[in-house]
Amino acid sequence: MTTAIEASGICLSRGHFRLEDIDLSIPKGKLTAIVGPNGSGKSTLLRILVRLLQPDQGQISVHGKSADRYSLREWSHTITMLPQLKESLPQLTVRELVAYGRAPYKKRFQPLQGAEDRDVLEQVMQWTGISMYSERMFHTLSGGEQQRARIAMALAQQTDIVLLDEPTTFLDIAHQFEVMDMLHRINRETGLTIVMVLHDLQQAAAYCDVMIALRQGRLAACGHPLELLTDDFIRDIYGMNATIQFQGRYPVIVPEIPHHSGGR
Amino acid sequence: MSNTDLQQKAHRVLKQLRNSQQSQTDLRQRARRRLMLAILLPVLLVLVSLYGILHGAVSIPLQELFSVWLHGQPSVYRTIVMDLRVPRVLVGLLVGACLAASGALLQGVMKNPLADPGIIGVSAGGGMAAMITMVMLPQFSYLLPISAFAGSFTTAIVIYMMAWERGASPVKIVLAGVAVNALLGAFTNGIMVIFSDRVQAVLPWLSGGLNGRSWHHLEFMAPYAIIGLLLCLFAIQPANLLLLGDDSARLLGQRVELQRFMIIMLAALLAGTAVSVAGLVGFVGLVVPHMIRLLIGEDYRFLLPFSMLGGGTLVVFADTVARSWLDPIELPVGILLAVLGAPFFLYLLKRKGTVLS
Repeated sequence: MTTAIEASGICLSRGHFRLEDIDLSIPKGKLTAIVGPNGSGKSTLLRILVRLLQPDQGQISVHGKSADRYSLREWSHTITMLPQLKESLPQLTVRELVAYGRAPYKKRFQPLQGAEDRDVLEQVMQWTGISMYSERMFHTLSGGEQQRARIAMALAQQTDIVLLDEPTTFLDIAHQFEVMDMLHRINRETGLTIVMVLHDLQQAAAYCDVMIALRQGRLAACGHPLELLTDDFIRDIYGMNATIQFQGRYPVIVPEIPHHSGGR
Repeated sequence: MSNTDLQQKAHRVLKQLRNSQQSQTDLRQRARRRLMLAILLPVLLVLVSLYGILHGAVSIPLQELFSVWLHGQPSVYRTIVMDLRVPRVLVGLLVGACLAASGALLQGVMKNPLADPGIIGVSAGGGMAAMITMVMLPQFSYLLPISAFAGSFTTAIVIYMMAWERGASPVKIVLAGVAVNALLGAFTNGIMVIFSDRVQAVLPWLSGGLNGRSWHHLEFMAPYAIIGLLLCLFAIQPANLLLLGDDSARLLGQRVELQRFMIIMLAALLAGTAVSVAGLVGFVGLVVPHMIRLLIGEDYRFLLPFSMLGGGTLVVFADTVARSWLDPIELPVGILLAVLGAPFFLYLLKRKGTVLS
């Protein structure tokens, strides 16, 4: 299995928060999930991997080349990340938003929607199933549609690797599966390397090829999710008791509910 | 399918339909408004400029204006038009365009709807430099525009350096701006008290006005203003990308720190140019870009040129009203703009779902 991203000895300390000595390798062309409790450093790790944050120590290489040796432009052609949906976006149509993904290929006065970009835009909007919304204003879309439009923007960047920070948070359950299905399909069809921070272990296990677990800023486990996901894993990583039951390939985490907490 | 299922489905479809209709109207409205402003603003600018040239202590009939231009014989009207009003109107247009463009750029890159040229130290720095020149070195008073400009620009750089710590975040720039503004304001006031006998000459400049602005002033400011306004072309794409947020812009291969620095310096150049000839004219940089943004959204390809046109029109209009309203007293245009601008801004604040939400 070839690696897309190789990180070794990543350390970072900011106040009380620290990441300690993280070594990991992310396989090329696969879906990788990063899981762990709140505050375990998942998003921070993602930001380090994509060079938004400089680690105190450690090395990152992408496609076998040290991340420091990429120029800004090369980097933006190689890897990108979709941040959590926090910042409000300006009022745009869906197509205008997706076209921002073409910015790394542009000189200063070139329009973002040139003739050669149109094919890319059509393609990514088709993959994400938002073609029919392309002339709608972004802010009038539902949460799931907005997320798909943002993912389309990241895809329009045509990088080999896309990192997503909690792509399903804030979405209702139907939209969560819609987004996961879509990412899975895009991965299988295009061989795009996808890394995502996920909160839902069940989804991570059902859709991803590799699962990386963090706990208190350290790498706690790494491997195939269906092998990794055990009762012990839940106890070690999250400090709670639960049993894993499988419905076909889909794991269901059944927590042990203390008797006093209601129910019949 | 049960009844509730059907109801839910119908509800969802209806909601989607409403959203898409809403979106259609939004889109059409946006296109219509862009077109409307693209036609209306230039027309308004020409009309207001004519109004500014014809109107004042002496009103000039329109046909006289043509004869002044066509025949060019020396007359009282010719003196008034060519020596007093035309340069004043042109200075007003440039001052307004510079201030509005400066405000539009700053609000975007600082992610702060209240950002205006005052916040990056342009007013305070320019004010103090002008004060020092006029009261302490009166023999060099002809250097006033240059010193005000230098003061504005230096203060902007100092504020940016103060805010720097692994990159300058917009919040830090605003806070550093507030602190440095307060400090320079105190110095300026101190100088006013110590040299109270010489302050009279500075007051009109401090309150901002175009009184007595002539070809000489225009010649001084025009090169800077035109260069600054043209440089705005380079700011459009970076400013648009910065609207997506720093992280997203960085991931799209943008040098966010460098771009923010360059845009702030450009804003300082524009505002410093305006301050150097017109003194402290407030509210144009704040109100005009907000109005335009309210109408056509944040796309800098439209926001910047429309703000320039709107700013120039507003300043010339306000100046014409200010000098003819309380005739024979000429109000400094800065005072009138504050009187008009402040309530208007409060109205914007109170209106639901506008710029600040």
